[in-house]
This record gives sequence, structure tokens and C-alpha cells, in this order.
Amino acid sequence: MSASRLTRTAAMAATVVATVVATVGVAAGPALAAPARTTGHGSAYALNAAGPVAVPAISAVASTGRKADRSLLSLPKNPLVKASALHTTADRAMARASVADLLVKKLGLSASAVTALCTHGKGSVDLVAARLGKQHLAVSPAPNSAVRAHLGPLGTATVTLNKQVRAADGSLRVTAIEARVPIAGKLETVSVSSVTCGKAAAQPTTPAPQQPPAHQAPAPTPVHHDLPVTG
Amino acid sequence: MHVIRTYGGAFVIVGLVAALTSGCGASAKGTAGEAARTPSAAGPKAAPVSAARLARLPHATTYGTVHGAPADPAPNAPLDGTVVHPARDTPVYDRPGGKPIAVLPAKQLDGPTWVPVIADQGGWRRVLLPSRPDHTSGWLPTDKTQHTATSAYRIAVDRGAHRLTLTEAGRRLGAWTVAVGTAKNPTPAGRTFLLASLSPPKPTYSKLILPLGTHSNSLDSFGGGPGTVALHGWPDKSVFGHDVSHGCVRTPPAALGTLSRVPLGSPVQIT
Repeated sequence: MSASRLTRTAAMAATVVATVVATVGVAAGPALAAPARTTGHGSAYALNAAGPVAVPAISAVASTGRKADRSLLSLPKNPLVKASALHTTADRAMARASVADLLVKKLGLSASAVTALCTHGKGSVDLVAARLGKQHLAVSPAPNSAVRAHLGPLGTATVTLNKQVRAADGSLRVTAIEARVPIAGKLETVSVSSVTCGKAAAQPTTPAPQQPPAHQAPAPTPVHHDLPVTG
Repeated sequence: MHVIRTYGGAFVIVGLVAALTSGCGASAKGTAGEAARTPSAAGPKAAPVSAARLARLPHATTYGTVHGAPADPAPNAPLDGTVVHPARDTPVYDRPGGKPIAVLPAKQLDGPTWVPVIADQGGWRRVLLPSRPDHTSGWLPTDKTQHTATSAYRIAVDRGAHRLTLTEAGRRLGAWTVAVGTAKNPTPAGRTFLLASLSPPKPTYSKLILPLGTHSNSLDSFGGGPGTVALHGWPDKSVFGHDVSHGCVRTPPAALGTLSRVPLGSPVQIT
């Protein structure tokens, strides 16, 4: 799609986009706009786009207690971004968001998997087979790693990997990939795999009894057994 | 899902409003593209399976073939690390309330069976199977004898870069140059999982073999085995960085040592 076509598209769709995004804003409000808390809150969304082409936050979840979980097999067709297996989960201590088969063709951005994780106010990002043009992107990029992409007549896009923003209350928002793309003079922002969680609670004065980590899968014990495998 | 299209192809995803407000209705068949992981209250009951019928069902092991198993709905998507161990041999169904197609044994390859959970709804868990065909799944009726857990480990194998990366909760524990399959016998791509941890009684090329829940696409059997793909060591370091194996991923000794503590069922993503 050319820049001029995107501009025309945006103009024609502006009213509809504004109306529906406003509606979605109400629906997704609790997930995205909930006031950040110091502890006990996690939220996530898999993908969001704002600008000439608007995509409301996909697979948005939020939780202050029990685990919330949501998946979408694929993103509906649109002129900007392709993705599949959009998955989010959040509880009072953590949030995780992942997408697979990401492709932002205009930007030359692709990845087999993009995952953001936030646990007790600490964040990390995992990128599998991620590329920006011909450039391979790091599997675990440092926080707020900026990469620029030249898009010819469209201008220059800025891609931030592992974007981390700490709020005043200590909560952390981690966005695995945030791309800011100029489209005919207007800015399109695409956010992929974004999570928010509060920082770890202060240690209680009287330590709680030591409990084994809940539901943590055990390390295996090798068994004496032979299996011919494909060497 | 409804998509409003305007002139020029702009789009607005109206159906997502419903998805965002409805609490993500579960869809066992995924017809609307949704696959819920939030358990819903009620679901169809499992048809009882007699001991005689149970004995006739194929075992969902790396040696077995399960006909009628539904395909993994997202074979390239990341797994979330939820794993389950059936404490007893458990029937596998083709859908919630459907027909039994296999038995998932409590043990295989002399170790405990742990498989990844990819959906959880209405008293049923959808799991990836270690049997042939690859990239298939099955439904287990949830029962109290099953142990569920979470693995924070992720193994990523980039075949083109000959790179294996291990992370725990997103933190990189290591990345190593490895050997993968040849063009004729490639290492199969997609998501799979760590199936077992084996210490061969008479090791020839590796003291530790880590079979995966996937098989060679080009070899029905290999060396007397069912063509299982595995992670393992290799004594000659000149192979690392090359396409030389029959499908397995050959790793340096340091990698194998770190990989040895990764829980069974942990996600492995091969690209």
C-alpha cells in the first residue's frame, strides 16, 4: 500500500475509526486504563496500533487476583500488520503477552515470536527470529534499545525494543516492540506484546514460612534408558 | 468476527468489542479464532472407557501413532509453559466429550510423562502429543490425579543461524552454536517440547539424550528408533554451526549441562 493510499484510507475511515475506537476504549478500559497499583496488579495486551490505522488493544487482560488468560488465533486482515497466536495472561504478580508470525511489511519488521514478561516489577523480552529489514534483532534486547529503519519516501521509522517505562508508583510497563512509523506526515504507533505489573511487595516484618514454589515444574532426573534418535 | 472495510481498505475490528467484553467465550473447535485458557464451569462429560477398550487404544508415546488426533491449532506459536503429568494412564479424546483416540501413559521411556497444555476449558485440557503424526493434540478430561505446573524455561533453536538459546523467565541462560539436520533430513520446525531426559547405559556420542515431542519428517525410523528428534551432545566440535545431522540438534557439552535441568514438557521452538 502506498503512502498516498494510506492517507486516503485514513481520511475516509476517520469517523468510523473514531467511533469504534471510542467504543472499544470503553470495553477495554479496565484492562488498559486501570490505575496502576504498587502491588497486586497485572495487565497485558498482545497488539495495539494508533494513528491513521487504528487497531484496538488485542487480547487485553487485567487481573488483581486470579489468573486471567486470553488467546486469539490470528489477527484479522488489515493493511498494516499480520500476527497469529496472540496470547496474554495476567495475575496479581505477573503479566505475559506473546504473538507469533509477526509481520509489519511496510517496516520490514518480522519475528517468529515476540514475548514480553513482567514479574514483580521486573521485565524482560524474548524475540525469536526477529528481523528489521536485513538486520537480525537480539533475542533478549537491553531495555529501551532503539533501532532506526529507513523507509525511502515514507521517511524514517523508529523501533524501540524492550521498551520499559516505570511509573511513579513503581509499576513497570514493558513493550516488546514499539514501532513509530511516519505515514504521509502522520505518526502510526504499533505496539507488540505489552505488559504491566507492580513492583514486588515489601518484605513482611515476620517472614512467612518457606513454601515450595507453587506449581513450578520439577527439574528432571535422567533415567537409564536408551532411545535411538536421529543423531 | 466482523471487520468493517472502508474505501481503500481501512479496517476496524468490530468483533473484538464483543471479544473484549464477553470474557472470551471458549470455543473447543476454535471456529471464531478464539481458544480460551480460562477454565469454564461446565463442559461435556468424558465417555467411559472400558479396560478392554483402553487396552486396544494406541499409546501416545514417541513410538506411537495416533489416528484422528486434532492438529495443533497454532504449531508455530509460543507455548506458555503450562505442563501436565498424568499420574495414571489417561484416555485421550479427540474433543471434549468426544471419542477416545489414545492413552497418555503416566510413564514413557522409563520416566514421567509431562506434556504442554495448550487450552483449558470446561473440565478438559488440550495437550500436545508426543506421538506421530507430529503437531497433533488431544483432550484430557481434567482429574485430580493430574499434576499441573509451569515451566519458565524456553528453548529456541534457530536452524538458519545454528543457534540454540535457553531462557528462564525471559532471562537468557545461554546461547550456543549447534548442529542441525541436513537439507535431506532437516530438523523439523515448529513448537514442540522436552519429552524425556535419558542417560544411555552405554553412551556412544552423548551421556545425555533429551528427546523432543517431534519426529523426523523424512525418516520413519532411524537406528531402530521411531525417528525421534532430540537434543544431545557430540564429541567432535567441528560439526557445530553446520547442517550435518539426521534431524537431531547436536549441542556442545556446556549447553547440555545447562539443558539438563530444564523441566520435562518445557517449550521448544524450532524456527
